[in-house]
Amino acid sequence: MTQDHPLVLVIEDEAPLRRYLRATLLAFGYRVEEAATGAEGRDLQVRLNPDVVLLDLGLPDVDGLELAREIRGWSQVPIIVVSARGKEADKVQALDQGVDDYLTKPFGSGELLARIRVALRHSAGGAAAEPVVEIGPLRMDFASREVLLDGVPVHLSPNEYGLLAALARNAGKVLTHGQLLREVWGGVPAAQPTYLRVYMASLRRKLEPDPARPRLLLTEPGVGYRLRE
Amino acid sequence: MPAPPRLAFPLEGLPESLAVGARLDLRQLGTALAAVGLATGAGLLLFGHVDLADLAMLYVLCITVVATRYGQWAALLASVLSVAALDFFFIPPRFTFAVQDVRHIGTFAVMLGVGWVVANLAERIRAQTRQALERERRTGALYRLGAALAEGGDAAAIQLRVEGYLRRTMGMEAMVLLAGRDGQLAPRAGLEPADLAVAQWALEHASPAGRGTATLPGSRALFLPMAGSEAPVGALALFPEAAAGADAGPGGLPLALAAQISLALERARLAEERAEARLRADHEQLRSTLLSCVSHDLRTPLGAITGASTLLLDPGPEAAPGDQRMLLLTIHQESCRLERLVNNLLELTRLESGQVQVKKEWVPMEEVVGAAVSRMEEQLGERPLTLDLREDWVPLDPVLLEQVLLNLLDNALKFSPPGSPIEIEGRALEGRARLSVSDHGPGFSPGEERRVFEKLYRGSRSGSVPGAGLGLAICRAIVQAHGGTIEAATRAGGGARITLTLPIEGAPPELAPDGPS
Repeated sequence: MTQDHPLVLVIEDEAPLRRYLRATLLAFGYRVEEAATGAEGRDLQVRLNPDVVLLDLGLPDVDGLELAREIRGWSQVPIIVVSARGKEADKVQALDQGVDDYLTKPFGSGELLARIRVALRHSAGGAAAEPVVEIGPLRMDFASREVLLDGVPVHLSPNEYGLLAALARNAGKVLTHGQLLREVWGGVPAAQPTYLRVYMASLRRKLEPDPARPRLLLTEPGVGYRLRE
Repeated sequence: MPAPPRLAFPLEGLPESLAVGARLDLRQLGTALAAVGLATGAGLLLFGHVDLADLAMLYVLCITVVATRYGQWAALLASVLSVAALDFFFIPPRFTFAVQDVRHIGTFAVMLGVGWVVANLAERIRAQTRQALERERRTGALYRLGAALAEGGDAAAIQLRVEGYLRRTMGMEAMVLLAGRDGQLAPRAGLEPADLAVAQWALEHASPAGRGTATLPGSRALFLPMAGSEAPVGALALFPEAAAGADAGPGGLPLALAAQISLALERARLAEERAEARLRADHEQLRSTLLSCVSHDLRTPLGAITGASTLLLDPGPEAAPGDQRMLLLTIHQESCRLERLVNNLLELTRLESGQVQVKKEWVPMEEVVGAAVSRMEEQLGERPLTLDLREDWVPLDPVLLEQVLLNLLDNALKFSPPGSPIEIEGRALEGRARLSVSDHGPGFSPGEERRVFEKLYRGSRSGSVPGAGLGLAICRAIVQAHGGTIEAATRAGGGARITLTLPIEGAPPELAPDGPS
């Protein structure tokens, strides 16, 4: 892996979108390889071993979800899927089977670069292993289980702490309801999205100045939650 | 529907004593014997105190009673027995069948004559009673069927209801076969092709066929045609138990039932055709409006984008450096506008074609509003936004409701002066939740409050604000899919307020807070 110029594999059938992605990524110091079909993408993924894969779910030749599953079969490369609006169920399915994040068409360059940055950081094994995470006004010490907001300790219940810790370890990355439930409640079968909403609401009350205008704990409706990077 | 009073109905098995052409059977014999025995017993008690003529009257009474209760044959038998008993027990010489006085032969003849006449009269009354009962049963059956059919519904619903009804309340195993536009009966599970062919024959020849008729009596069922006044409607099949003893002729119950079902089916078919025609007309109308809307609203931004990009590619010698950014900005803004329009068009199409399912979950109002507000952060910029929400939970589809709020916020931004505040207020009340988005723009013209939710309607105060009139139509479709309502109003102090009301059923989730860490 070339740390300075990570290689992004773009699997996208629409030429104009490929052109836009190439131009943006090259301008920000990435190397880019393109595939117009799923078959070509699979081939390039194996040969080039890229640092990030940008995968369109609506490919003409193969099912994007299927291809993502295949790639996961042999590689832990971060995969970011690109899909149309209104396909929340597809996104959740993709995320639950190991895809790292998603972008909803059409997306701006800022969003694109942020997702890639986060994916690269997490694949480098950075955040997960770090004993302390600092995000904006929030500081989390995983060893002492201490949470500071603007330097002031915040008291969290075990579930609130678990929820925040899961999001903080994956800062910037979306986590689905299913992923969070598994992370925080383990295998409790009765656990459902409502649990998450209850604890998310109380977390926001403790961490957000205005819980209805969250700065840190963002909701992705129909998908899950994301801690702002 | 409460079960109608159950009349003795089954087509077969009329009450035995009313059966057509009652025959003399053992029970009648016994009854006649018992009645005459009773009369004789009474006569023996009275003997010596009354005339012989009075005793004869006693027997006539006995014959009359037997006649009215047990019919012609029992009455005739009673007459003969009465004559014999009178002769044996009372006419001297007693306890012999010999007759001393020739006058008594006359008495016997009169008794037999009375018996005959009474038996005939009684039979006629019984026949009339039988007919009256039959008529009542028929009228009752038709009336109750009529009531069952009055519920309306489409042909399939009527089909199910009629079959269920006939089985439940009349014990008739029946099948309603529907004819297609081409007059061909549609096959049904449980009906063999041969039977279907008989039914088809009945329909085409407008004559009953199958079991119990002259045509193809070997079929499993009796098939009655339902011809309809304009086009063939279908056929009614009555299975063996129901067909047995049924009078398939004109005036019989089955034909009357078939006629009534036929009428109901025809009504349903006409209603369907009318609804289809209306739908087609609506679609036509919508298509032409959409086409004109789309051609205008899609072309305008496309024109701007094409123009600006052409100029960027070939700026000419006099181009100022600042122009380039201005042109790029134009392209960006117009693309966003296109994106919104296309999204709204797709969203509305999805909603209207029923592809969208509302998946309700208990969600805190804060979270729904928060998600929409964060997504609009860029457009909101420095706009003052007041949020007045409580920790209220509402059952809703978070993805769809976000869509509603995005559209309402977008409208509020577009239709109010830059820098003016926007307010969002939410409350859970008794059994419903109310959420409103208000701005400080011009509000609505009087009378416009309902029309703004119509597809492609653009408010009279829209002026130069771009838009296709789809946003509020989408909001309404989503809110209605939730079983809620949406209203537009101009606030007392000016400015538009859109209020949506969602039903709250059940109780919000309650989780005991876990202990402090």
